Amino acid sequence: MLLQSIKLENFRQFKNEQIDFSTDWERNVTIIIGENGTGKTTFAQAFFWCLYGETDFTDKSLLNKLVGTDLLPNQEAVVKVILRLNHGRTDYTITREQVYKKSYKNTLTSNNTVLNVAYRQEDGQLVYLKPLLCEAEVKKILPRELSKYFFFDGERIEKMSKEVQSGRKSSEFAEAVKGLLGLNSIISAINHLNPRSKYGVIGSYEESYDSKSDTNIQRYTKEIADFQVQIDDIQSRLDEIDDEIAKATTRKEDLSEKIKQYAEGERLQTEKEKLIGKLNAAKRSKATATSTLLKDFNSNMPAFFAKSTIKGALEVLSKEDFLGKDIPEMHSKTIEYLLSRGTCICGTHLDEGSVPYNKVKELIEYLPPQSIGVSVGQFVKDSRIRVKDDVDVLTNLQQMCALLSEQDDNILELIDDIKAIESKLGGGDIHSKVKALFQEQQLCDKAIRDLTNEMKNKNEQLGALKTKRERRITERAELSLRDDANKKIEIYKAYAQSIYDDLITIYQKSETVIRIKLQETINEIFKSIYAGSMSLSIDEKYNISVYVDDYDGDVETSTAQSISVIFAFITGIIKLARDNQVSEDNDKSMLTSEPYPLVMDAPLSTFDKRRIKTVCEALPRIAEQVIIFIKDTDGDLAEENLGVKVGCRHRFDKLNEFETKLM
Amino acid sequence: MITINGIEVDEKSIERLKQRIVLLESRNINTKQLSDQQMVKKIKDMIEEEAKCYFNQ
Repeated sequence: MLLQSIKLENFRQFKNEQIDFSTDWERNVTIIIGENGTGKTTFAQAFFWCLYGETDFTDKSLLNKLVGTDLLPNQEAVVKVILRLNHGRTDYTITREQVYKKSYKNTLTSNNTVLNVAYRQEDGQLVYLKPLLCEAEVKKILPRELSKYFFFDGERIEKMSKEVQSGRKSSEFAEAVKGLLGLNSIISAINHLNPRSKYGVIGSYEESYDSKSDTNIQRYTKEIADFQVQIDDIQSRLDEIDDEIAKATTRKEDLSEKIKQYAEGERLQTEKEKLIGKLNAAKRSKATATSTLLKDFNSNMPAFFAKSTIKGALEVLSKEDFLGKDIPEMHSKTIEYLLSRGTCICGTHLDEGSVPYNKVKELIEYLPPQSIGVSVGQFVKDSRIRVKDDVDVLTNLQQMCALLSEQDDNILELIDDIKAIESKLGGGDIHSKVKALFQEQQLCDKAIRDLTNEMKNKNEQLGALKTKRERRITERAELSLRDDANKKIEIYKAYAQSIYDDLITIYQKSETVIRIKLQETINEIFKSIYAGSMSLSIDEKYNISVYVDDYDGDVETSTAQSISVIFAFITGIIKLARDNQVSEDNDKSMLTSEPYPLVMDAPLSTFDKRRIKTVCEALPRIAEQVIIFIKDTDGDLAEENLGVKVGCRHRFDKLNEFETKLM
Repeated sequence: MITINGIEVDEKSIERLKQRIVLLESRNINTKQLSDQQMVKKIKDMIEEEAKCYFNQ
């Protein structure tokens, strides 16, 4: 695949811009320079969107903001990306568009994206693919699973490196790599011969027996077809079981890792719970102390505050002598009666204003109901008790206040400790999280057990069905040989089956050879970039492991190593694909592959100077076509290291926040 | 000579057919001239032609 041009219409800040890429064999680098925010990443993302209908943008609305604002209600605008490329000996035009419409509520709604693929055959005829076939065609050109490695973002290169080392890539990824490395012709031949499809070569022979010569042929053919359907169903279920077991195992490993990570968290969580218990106890104790203090205060404080008044009163009273002033058993009303009668008990006239009158009248002050002597005596007695109690109240109050202050300090300290633990825990209840993780792990175990049992049963069924089918095939073959027409079909089918079996073997052998070769190539490139005693190995799923020479086991990679790993992986695939394409070696005669471009957004930002030089030298040598989106500050670096290889240069000019043009 | 389901097939013919079919696939991947069904028919024609040649000998 070589990219010829890309055109963006109303795609974010690009209203109508096209970039032509260098397809020159020698000067195979295209550089697109722009300041930050001019849309380099947008342009790089346009490739993804055109091919797969996806972008990494948070704002999923792709319509240019100015165009969207200018739309009137019920008006439509189209976002379109047109990618022209060459794949094999075919020129493709891949178009993806999306219609946006403004409503009367002034909101924009968008339809689903529409993908169109057209190609020009060698005879010049233009062929438009049916919509249903477009996605499959794009997959043939560049499988989605691999696309991010060919259109990669330098700022996310480390994440990609972790992915290729993760061991969690899908089987589609491995298939995509195999296809890219030259096995596509064999894969296509196997698919066309496929005995499982009645549209394949072997399957169609199965359908073409003439049953007129012997009715058993028809019966056997039907039975064989039925067995095949059952075998296919079981096989398909077995594949699903494999995937499900792999997923459950991976999930279980993930859960174990998480549980391990939570171990320290659990300890902290237990500590936190203890502290919360202490805090609650301290709060309860404080509440009790406060309540006691208030109760004491309410009952004792009036006496406390009355103390000075009482003291004053006692002082005044101590100066007066009330003893003997009152007359026992006599009431003030008696005096009032005597005064009103005008005669004392002794017979003395009590004329108002006279001396006897006034003397008798004075007695009222000392007689009940307020017998001053008794009242003063009681008052003095009560006051002495109150004044004496007051000493204890004050001491108690001071002690209670000290206790409360101590409890406040304790509570604050506990709150600080809890906060410190919470900040380490990052929120949430670890115990319940760990419990949930354990429960999920148990579910995974159960799923693996159930699936393994199911697999065992299915394999037994599969074996029995295959035996039955083989028996019927042999019986039908014997019958077929008695009839010329059927005999021919039997012979053709035997040829097809033999070719199919051989191609399966060749595919498996070639895949192993290619994988080993890829491993060698990747190591060669890796060592040229990252000078050190590290090597890479590739497993059956094309996962990469990094290990230090003479050390048994995987190692954690640094940023520089990670960058080198992903770079070696991508360029290794491209180099091998290219080698297969130009090879005339007989061993590789069944391998056919394509050159692939490298489209990189900010590739140099993560490399140091020495690696920039190495990478810049390696890129145009290894890849057939290199397209680099680069910020202006890295422009000189790129020119310095790539200058002679640059076939096309473009520069973005930002007109405003919503529009960028190509200079 | 090998035997498949009781039928004898010529190994040299099988070898030739494998090469021809993979080359045909390779060419078609590049040119996209034939659809899947046309490819199936073409492969069947190649097999039948080769088998007939062998038996005519």
